[in-house]
Amino acid sequence: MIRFIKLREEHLEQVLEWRTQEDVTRFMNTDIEKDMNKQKEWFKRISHSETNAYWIIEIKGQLVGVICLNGMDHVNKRTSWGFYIGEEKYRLYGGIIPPYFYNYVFSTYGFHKITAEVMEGNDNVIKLNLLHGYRMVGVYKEHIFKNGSCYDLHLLELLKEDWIKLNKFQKYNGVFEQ
Amino acid sequence: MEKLLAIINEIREEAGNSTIETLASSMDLREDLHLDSLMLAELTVRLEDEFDVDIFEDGIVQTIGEIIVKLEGK
Repeated sequence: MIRFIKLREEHLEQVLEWRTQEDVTRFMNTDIEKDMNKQKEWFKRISHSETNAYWIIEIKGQLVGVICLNGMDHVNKRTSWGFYIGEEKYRLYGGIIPPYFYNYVFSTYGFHKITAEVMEGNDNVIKLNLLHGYRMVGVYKEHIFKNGSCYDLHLLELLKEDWIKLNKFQKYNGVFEQ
Repeated sequence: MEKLLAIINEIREEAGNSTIETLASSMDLREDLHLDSLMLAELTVRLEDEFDVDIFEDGIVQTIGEIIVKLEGK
């Protein structure tokens, strides 16, 4: 029912629409302009990147959001990641989409750790991460300057061994396009 | 039902809402219980944790009754 489709050029317009929605950008570290040319340039860059990978989240045939690996560090075997659901109706899937991703990432890539950054105020996401087995690493104080104000950035990490030890969500295995 | 009520009340309290006494099958998760999408996301994880059930396996659920059907059918 949930599929993860490799991001392609045909998705860029939809992704730009989601990525510039106020309810999506609110807790993003960076904001982007609603500019299709820049979006295409960004796509070109990430398409050739060995440290980033992007998928479109599809639920029951409906494209609903984006999930990605960023800063893949194959030397130290760790990666950062992120996701958002652009379609409000499907945001309630925000608790179970990450487990699909963790099962895929830990079983496919050789990473032993996933790290996450969550902006101040995004308490529900911190709570979800903790329920998924993350530990709080610390807080960068006043780390993000956005809309004229500084915000803290919470740092979390999920070790592969802690994910396995949690022994939950193992049945969440999705189809990820290579 | 008691455990489900406890989980929902915990989520509601954390969001600054008052607790409720009872649940009814007809209650709408958003309209009656005022659970927003992120609260519902947490609810799914808590239910998975407690009952080992993916309540969205066949699609979006909207009422307490639909959750109970999922929990009873596991």
